[in-house]
Amino acid sequence: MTRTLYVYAIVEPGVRLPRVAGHRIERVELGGVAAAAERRTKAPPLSEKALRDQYRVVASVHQRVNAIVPVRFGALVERDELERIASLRGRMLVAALRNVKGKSQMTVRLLGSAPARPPAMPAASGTDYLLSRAESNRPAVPPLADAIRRSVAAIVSAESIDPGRESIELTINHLVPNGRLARYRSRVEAVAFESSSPASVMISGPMPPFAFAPDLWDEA
Amino acid sequence: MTRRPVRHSTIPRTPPPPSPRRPSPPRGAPKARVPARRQKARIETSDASLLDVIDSLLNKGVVLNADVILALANVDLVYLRLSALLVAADRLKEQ
Repeated sequence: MTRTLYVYAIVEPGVRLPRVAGHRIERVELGGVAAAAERRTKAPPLSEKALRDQYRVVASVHQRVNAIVPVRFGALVERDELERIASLRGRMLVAALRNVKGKSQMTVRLLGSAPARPPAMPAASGTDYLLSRAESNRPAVPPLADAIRRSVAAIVSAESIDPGRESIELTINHLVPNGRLARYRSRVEAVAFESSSPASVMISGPMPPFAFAPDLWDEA
Repeated sequence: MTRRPVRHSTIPRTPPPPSPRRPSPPRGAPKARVPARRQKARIETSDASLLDVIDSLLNKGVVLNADVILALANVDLVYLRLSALLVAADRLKEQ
């Protein structure tokens, strides 16, 4: 009989998972890694309640374990399929767990309006066209964001930047060692207060390191 | 293991306060005693914002599986399961 699992996160093998109200989270050993998963026959339908519920589960696991790689919403997989993915991408998942161990994600959003992207210039060749498209898609980093990044550069261990959209000018995700979270927050706040930029700064976290999960499909 | 409280704050670009350091309010102090300017300058909640939840769970995190339907002119042509694609690609590599 096939067993389907709803996977919340990848964790280190042998770790003890927390009890989360309304869920029966179990650890599924997959060789070098394990999955924090729940036996289910269907993925939850997409809704705010389901998203908040899953976030609560992942955050609870994150508070309990040292290393967690969160899984995207909707990951209902058969046990065999999960084992196959873990065997094919085990090294990548182990490296990702090592990378986030003892760390949390902090996210800084600059609120304003997303900068208009310049249209791609006419190109002489396909390569030129793709290069110009890539350049126009690269997020423009405003001076305030640069100042924030510089102020925490010695604290963070990894960074990812998402381009702005609608009322968000830019999103910066940082991977921060748990012992430095307070220092990180105070440095960002200090830069934001001192800046003359018209943008507002929103700081979120600490949260599970969603933005530092590997792309398993990159090598496919 | 100690619990790490999740905090979210928004710092609008109002005139900067004299010092970036915030005085820590006394424990149990009523909210009305917090200066109005400070109340405006910081919004904090104890729960993750919906923006964080959506961004994290729908745009980030490991993609374990996904279904893709290639369609042309509103006609579904090919159904692909990404995990099946991954397995197939790795088998091709092995050959």
